Amino acid sequence: MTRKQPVAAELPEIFARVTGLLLTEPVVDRAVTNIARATHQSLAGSVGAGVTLIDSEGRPTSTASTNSLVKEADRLQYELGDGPCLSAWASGQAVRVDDLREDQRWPEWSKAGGRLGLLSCISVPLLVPDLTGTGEPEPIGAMKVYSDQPHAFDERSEEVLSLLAGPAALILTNLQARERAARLSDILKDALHSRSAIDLAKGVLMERLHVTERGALQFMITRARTQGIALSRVAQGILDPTETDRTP
Amino acid sequence: MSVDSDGEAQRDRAGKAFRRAELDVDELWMHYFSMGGDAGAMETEAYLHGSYMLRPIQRDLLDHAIYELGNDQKE
Repeated sequence: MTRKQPVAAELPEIFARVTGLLLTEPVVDRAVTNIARATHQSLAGSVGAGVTLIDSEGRPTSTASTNSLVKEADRLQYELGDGPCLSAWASGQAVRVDDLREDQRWPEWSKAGGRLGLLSCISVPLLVPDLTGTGEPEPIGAMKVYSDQPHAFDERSEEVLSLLAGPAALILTNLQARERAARLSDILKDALHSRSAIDLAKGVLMERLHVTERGALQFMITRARTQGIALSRVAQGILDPTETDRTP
Repeated sequence: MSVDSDGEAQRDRAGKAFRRAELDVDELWMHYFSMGGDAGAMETEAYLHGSYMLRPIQRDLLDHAIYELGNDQKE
């Protein structure tokens, strides 16, 4: 089964949003931009740093960067569908390129980056801990730093970048939760609508057929199965007989 | 100790149908909820694993939710 709609587990996000527990987008943007700036300033040789959120299909959804050079290098990468950030995101591992002119892993991107004057870079995945505490951390994007010099970064830079990626990931998770909450509240609205229709129809039947609640439900379920339609449609039919077939 | 053999038999059947249809438990719960189900997601899951009992009407609703989602998936 490929279709997955994790709904029940995320209902708390809706309530978190309603009660203002989730951060708003401008707040998150500012915080993440500050982290990118701190990254740029704390790594010698950096000409710019950036953070990208990546969705499950490998598409970037939002970005924060210290300058347009980083933005352009990123844009190229997602356009080509290949590059160190996407690799870091997909593998969950840090990716370092010491010299774009010699690196053979992403030839097209390296060539394009070289034209922008970028010669080395590091990308680390943005990882959020699995909420249940059992699974692997989930990569939600990548954070990267670029240099105009070859071999500008070493293991230590990698470590610093990974350390900064932690808080960036946490802040961005909050934003993702907010988006999911918006999507979920639509699903929830439909569910509540169908739920109240079924409840109402149950009440109508109990009165009309002098049956118990369970009896009324069984009446509707039997009809749904014999006619091959959804229970919510059976309920609609009972509440609005002009729209579908006859009611009892 | 109270014994509810009808309930237990229904629960066994529901658990088997749920596993046969390979449904996602969260998705099933949402569908059951949209039909008027009032047990929580955790209770629902526990019921399907045989470690919790639902009231008769809730069992009927969950049966039908499994039935509808299972049919959706076959299409």
